[in-house]
Amino acid sequence: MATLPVDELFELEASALEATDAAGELESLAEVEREYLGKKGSIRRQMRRLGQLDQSDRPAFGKAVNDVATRVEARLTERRASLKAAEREAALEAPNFDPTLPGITVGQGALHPLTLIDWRLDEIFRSMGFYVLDYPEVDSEYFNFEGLNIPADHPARDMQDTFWLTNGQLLRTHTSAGQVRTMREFAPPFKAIFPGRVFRYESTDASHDHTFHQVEGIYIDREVSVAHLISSMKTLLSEVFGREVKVRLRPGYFPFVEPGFELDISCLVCGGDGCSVCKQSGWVELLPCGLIHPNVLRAGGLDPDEWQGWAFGLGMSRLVMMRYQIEDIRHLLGGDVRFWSQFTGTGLE
Amino acid sequence: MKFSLQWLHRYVDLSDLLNDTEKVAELAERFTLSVAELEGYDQLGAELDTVIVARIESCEQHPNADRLRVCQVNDGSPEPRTIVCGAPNARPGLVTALALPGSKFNGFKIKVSKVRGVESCGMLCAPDELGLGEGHEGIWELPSDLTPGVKLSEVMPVRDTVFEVDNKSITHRPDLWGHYGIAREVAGLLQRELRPLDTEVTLGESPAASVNVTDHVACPRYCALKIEEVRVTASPLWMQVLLYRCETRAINNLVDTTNFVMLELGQPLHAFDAREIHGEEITVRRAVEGERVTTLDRQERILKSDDLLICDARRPVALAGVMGLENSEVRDDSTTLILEAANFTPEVVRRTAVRLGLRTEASSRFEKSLDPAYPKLGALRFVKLIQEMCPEARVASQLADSWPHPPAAVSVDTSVSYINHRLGTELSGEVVRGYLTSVSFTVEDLDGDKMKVGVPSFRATKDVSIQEDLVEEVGRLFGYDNITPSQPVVEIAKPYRHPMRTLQRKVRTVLSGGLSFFELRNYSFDSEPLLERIGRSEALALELKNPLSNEQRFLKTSLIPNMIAAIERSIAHCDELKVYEIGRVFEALSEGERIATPDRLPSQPFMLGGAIWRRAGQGAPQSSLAGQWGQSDRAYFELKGFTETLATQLNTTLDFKLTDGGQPVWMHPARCAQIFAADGSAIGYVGGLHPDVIENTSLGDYCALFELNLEVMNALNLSYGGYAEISRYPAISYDLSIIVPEAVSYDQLKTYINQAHKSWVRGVDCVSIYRGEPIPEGQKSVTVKIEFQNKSATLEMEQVNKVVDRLIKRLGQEVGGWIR
Ligand SMILES: [Zn+2]
Repeated sequence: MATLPVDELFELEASALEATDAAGELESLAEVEREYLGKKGSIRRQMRRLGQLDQSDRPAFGKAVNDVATRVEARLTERRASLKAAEREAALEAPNFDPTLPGITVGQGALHPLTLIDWRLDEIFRSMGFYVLDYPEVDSEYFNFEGLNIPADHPARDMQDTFWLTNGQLLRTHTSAGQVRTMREFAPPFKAIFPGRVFRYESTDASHDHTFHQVEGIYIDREVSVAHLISSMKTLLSEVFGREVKVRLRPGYFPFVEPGFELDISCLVCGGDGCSVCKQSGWVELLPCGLIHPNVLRAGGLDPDEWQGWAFGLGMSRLVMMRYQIEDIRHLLGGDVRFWSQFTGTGLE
Repeated sequence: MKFSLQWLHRYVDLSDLLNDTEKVAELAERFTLSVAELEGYDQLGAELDTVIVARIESCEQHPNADRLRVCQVNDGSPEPRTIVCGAPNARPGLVTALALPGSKFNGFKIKVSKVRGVESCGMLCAPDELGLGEGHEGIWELPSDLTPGVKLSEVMPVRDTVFEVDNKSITHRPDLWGHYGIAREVAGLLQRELRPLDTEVTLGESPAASVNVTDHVACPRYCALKIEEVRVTASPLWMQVLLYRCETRAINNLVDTTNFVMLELGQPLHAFDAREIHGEEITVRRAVEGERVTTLDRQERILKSDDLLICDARRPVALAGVMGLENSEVRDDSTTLILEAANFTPEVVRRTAVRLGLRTEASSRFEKSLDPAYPKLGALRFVKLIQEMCPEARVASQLADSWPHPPAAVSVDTSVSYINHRLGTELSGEVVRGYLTSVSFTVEDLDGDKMKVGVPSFRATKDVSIQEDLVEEVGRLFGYDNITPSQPVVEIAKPYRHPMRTLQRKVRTVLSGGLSFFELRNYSFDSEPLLERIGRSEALALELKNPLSNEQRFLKTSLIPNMIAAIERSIAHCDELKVYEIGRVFEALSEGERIATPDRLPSQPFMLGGAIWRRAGQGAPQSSLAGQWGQSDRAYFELKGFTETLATQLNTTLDFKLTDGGQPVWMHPARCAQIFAADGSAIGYVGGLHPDVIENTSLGDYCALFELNLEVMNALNLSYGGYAEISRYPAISYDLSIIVPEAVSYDQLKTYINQAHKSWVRGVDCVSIYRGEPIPEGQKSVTVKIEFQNKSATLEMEQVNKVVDRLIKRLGQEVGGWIR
């Protein structure tokens, strides 16, 4: 048997193994594979020498070539695995990654705090079967005063200094201006609130503005008593403030209700024990309310012998200020971005 | 209004309350809960227990001080007391007030101390130092008949509680504008007896002056009395102190007594000096337009024909119900008076007082509809009090009394069950009747349930006339706190959603939530200086008759000006801003409309205004089209994008057309689009800023604004458009560059593309716009990406090619479009 021409083959093997070990990444490893084991690779090319060999030597040489190919292959596979492992190892690292850097945002929007309260009232009252309505801001003397049992020259007109328009109409001084409109619009029995903007001709300071927001509540049914009013206000206000409140009625004079009341709630700060907010009385004056005056029912087209009702007017701006601890009412309509950008949330809690 | 416990004590026995802080607090609470709101109360004078009456026996110059004198004072003890005093009126024989050492008031303490080397054992006091009167010219000059050594509190009501009632809460209660009315309520609350007012006086024989009232509507009742031999002196101390505590300055017995009766009964009185009253007849008449009079405060007043005057035979002597005139004022030497006690109609007094800016104690009481029974009572009370202090005074005449139409007694038919129904109580008839009679109503029990309730005259003028008023009387006296709350039985109501509120809620959700806008709210007035800077809308603004300032006399016709101001206020605090406001704007009716429909309200639609601003375009979003845009263009397109998204989220679409010149004055005339709603109605504008606005404000280039009419939006069908089944067949995306003349808008091009095939064109998007070589001048190359899809079969490329060929051909024929 002639000596097999294997020197070249083994040299190839040695250099292939060396190149395999030297490949630092998967791409160069693939290059090595192509160079030695590819169809035209140098190891594969050794097969072509079979023809030059004796018949008897051919199997042995063929086996030698295959063995080399197998060994190189094995070394390549091993190397590939270790490179992949290293690469994954590297992928699992994120050098200098600081997850606390600020996110890329599209900016944050916000609702106005009056909207937040409006939505909250909307949700509470609608869930209790109230309509939530809206009425004009420029209104007639009739709906703002006369229809509410406040005729011309009535001293009660002094209580609400009015912005008059040159055309004889006015900027409504209270959301009560919607009462007669509601009665004319909806068939009784019904219950409704109507929030909105109201205007008073008066100078402004941190707790007074010439423009502010109120919400009017009205309830019309066949049989309405003071006992109902107390109970309803207690339930509604407990929802509005998100906790149980006590209510107390005192005589109050408003021409469109009879009897009329000032409603106090138990102080939210001290719970009724007495503190500086409630001037030690345990009570805080919150809103006027009362049983609707028969003249107002008549103005609304309702027969007072058949229909009765109660009504209240709640200072929405004041509610907003209480809820968010806003120190100056003028921020509500005159603020800047430092104010508008603070009120996140949806108003639905 | 203030009222004093000591004063009330004159009519109802409150001796147990005078020195009892707790009982006073209890009364204050019950008063607040059952009668009217108290602003608060002050307990006064408790610290003055060591102040006594003293007489100065001698006065010598202080050896070491020019301005001080050393007085020997009789304090009731045998030994004189040495007091150093600086008052200029300190003199032998003067009876005055002495604060003994140990007294503490006004924040300082009286001690025995050396004053410039002379020991002083107390302090002689001025009335204001003691909180008992006005005047600090010197020490108090007390009547000389007071006994030295007695406590001051024994000669005048030193210790007192003064309550302040919130005037607003008694607007409807004329009876509560005087102490006697308050005492009536207190007597009712405490179940005590109310003493009748003493009006026992002897009238004269001579006929009363004749009173000629020409307008009985304006002056339902006029009483007059002539009183002779009056001497003008100081009032008694008790009266001076009570008046002072109720914030009324003591002047002399005549003035003080008119004031006292007013604060007692609520009935204003007026005294004329009889020497200045000409003739024997008093006339009450309307003023002549332009008539001039001079009131007691020395002001000339020009009257109108609805003002009411009191006149003697020659001239006006008083402005009825408001103020007397200078010409007939009582003086220090007056001895004969004509006393007026009248009832004037609230509207007449109110109109005059408001117009002249002359709201007096009298006018504010007449405005409340006083009891017409009071003039006579008040006149007699005056006489009674004057005679107590001036026994020689006598009434010369009978009472002149013009009262042609006394009002009929008012009674209200009601029932115990009605009152219980309205209160939600189960009170017995006896209890209900008890409450009513405790505050002077009379009750005729008809059948145990029904009753006829007589309303006392002082409650009948305006306050109580219907059953509901009696519900209030019983409720407040029972105590609303004692009513057991009960839930009403309620029918299930049909829900109702207010369409405008619903739309606003959607808009706010999209803008504040999805699109990251801040919601702001602004005032409803336009600012004139701002409009000077940014221009004035052509809309007809509503004007205020009584603006707070001349600069804010118009209601806003657009949300934009105030929004610009709000952005200006904000840009120092941020680099970018996206804001919106939902609010009403106001537009006056035309003169013609107003005359035709006087009751119609002006148009006051809800608008949505929005703006975007960036400092020098910082952080503006990328767009493949943006390369060729300036800052203003980019702002416009960024804001337009938001309005488009908003429309999509509202289930509608908006159309943007180049403005035809009708854009708002603050918008750029060329970089602006008019917006049309899905039904074709004009709904608003979106645009960049006008160069003048950029110049006159701090906003800069990168700013755009929009304003949409939400009433138009609200009229649209905003219901969800419907789900489209997801096609199983592939879509073909086709890029096409079309060259068209500049005048052809993208919108036009898009319309052609959409019309190229009714059902296969699924979407069109603009990829880029190119101008320049080799595109001819005046033309542009628009590259669009068109998505084709057939919902029911796979679309072949040849089919698409055919559609595109037809499209290009049509563009060529109709707008001169071509491809390279
Ligand atoms: Zn408290």
